[in-house]
Amino acid sequence: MMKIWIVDDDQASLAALRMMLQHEDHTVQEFSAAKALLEQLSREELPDLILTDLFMPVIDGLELLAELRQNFPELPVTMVTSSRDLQLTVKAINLGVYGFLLKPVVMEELLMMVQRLERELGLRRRVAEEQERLVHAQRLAGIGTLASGMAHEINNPNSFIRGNIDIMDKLWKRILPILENGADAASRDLLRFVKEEVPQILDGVRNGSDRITQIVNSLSLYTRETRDLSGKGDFRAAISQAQVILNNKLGVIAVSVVDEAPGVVNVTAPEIHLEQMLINLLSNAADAVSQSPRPRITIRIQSINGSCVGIDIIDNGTGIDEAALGSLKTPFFTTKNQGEGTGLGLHVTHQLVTRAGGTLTYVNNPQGGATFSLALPIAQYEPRQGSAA
Amino acid sequence: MNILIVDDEEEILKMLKRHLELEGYDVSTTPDPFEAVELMKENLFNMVVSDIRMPGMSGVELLRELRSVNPLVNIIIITGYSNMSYVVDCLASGAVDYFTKPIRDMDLFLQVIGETQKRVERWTNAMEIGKSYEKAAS
Repeated sequence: MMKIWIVDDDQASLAALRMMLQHEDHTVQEFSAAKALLEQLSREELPDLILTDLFMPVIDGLELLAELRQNFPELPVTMVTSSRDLQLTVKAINLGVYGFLLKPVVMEELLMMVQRLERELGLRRRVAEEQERLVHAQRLAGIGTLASGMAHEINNPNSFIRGNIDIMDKLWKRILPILENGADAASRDLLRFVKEEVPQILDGVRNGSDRITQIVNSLSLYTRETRDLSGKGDFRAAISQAQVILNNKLGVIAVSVVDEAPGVVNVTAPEIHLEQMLINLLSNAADAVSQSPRPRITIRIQSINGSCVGIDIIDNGTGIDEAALGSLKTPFFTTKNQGEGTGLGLHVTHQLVTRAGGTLTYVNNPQGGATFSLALPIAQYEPRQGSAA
Repeated sequence: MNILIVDDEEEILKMLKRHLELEGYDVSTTPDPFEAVELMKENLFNMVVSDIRMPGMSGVELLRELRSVNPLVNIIIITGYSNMSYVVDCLASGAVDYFTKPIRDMDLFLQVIGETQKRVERWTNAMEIGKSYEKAAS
């Protein structure tokens, strides 16, 4: 359906064109003079097409076309005329006319022209969208490169901050008994205070450095060199590995795996990426259930249409705050307390799953808690035993 | 026991030197991998702690250079990269262990240094005994 404006000083012609166009459900607006159309243009959203009579009083079709070219160079204008004057035709073409229709207008001819335009506009939109997507992807890649470069630059100074704290800690423990032995009555109070504060100061700096390490590690995932990353990975191995790594954090939480996709072995993401995604999702789930009376996480593996594996991480925790639902994948967005989350886990997971051609979705469960779902394209089936190879 | 530390970041050299000296090791440092090879020729260090990526020479190249000077050298690498393929290359070329930067478990690092030191001592003893057999035989 197209939005079409028609202008003609002859009411009968207007009515005829309108009826033909409405027959195909196009939205039509009629103008009896070019001036009225120009005024309307400045006020309203642009039409998809303008059909104009050639010969009109005050402003004729060619003048209207010239005016439109100046201000709306993309707007298609078709000239409706009974004239076969070659000079006028050439003028109109030079002014960038979209098409010509000869009066009396034949319905098929009119509708075919509108159809052709509709296809062209659709194509133009798709090209524009694709361009937008490419620009966006490039920008993301740029950010990724910048982020990993920055991560590396930050990591070096953070390394000697961290290492120096450790040595400071040791030196302090060695010197403290000597200080205590040598302190006179006057300096005892000060020493008591310092003895109390110094370990806390060291802990504070150590925590800060550890948090920087956490951020650096999340950022460098963006552009890890892909040399040893084969295109497919065993997601079951990644699930077990993630559970092993999170062993401490999962602690008393009842974690069960429900495997409903036997036969599927590999998906289209390298194992190290799968592991990272699962660590992020399981770690979030563990945080979400930490206050639940009977904390439980279920990992459900399903086949989706035989082409994808769905890995659902279902928890009975706090669920996702309505206000946060739209922002979870945004980098540095976190619902956790200061210092507990970097706001990069879901963002990185989303990046990795997208790179593998899959998706990450999440919903709140009706019975409470939330479900985070990975869908990953299957890379390999294991031939079932007993079946013909 | 002499240890050579190689890292293009001076502050890291100073920091690691403090840790090792507190444990009683004699420590030499250099930010330049080429100088590291020269130092090796003069001193025949049995233990080297080296960064994995430095300007001019990679960790693997340095590893090979150092081992061509002293085949018994024990090299521990430290890396700022989360990418394990460099680490694997170094381990395959004979590095004894690796740590990522920042070293978050300094006690473990020092423990590995300690064990490496014992290994170096055993190897050195074996060499001495070997030499004495040769002497006795000749």
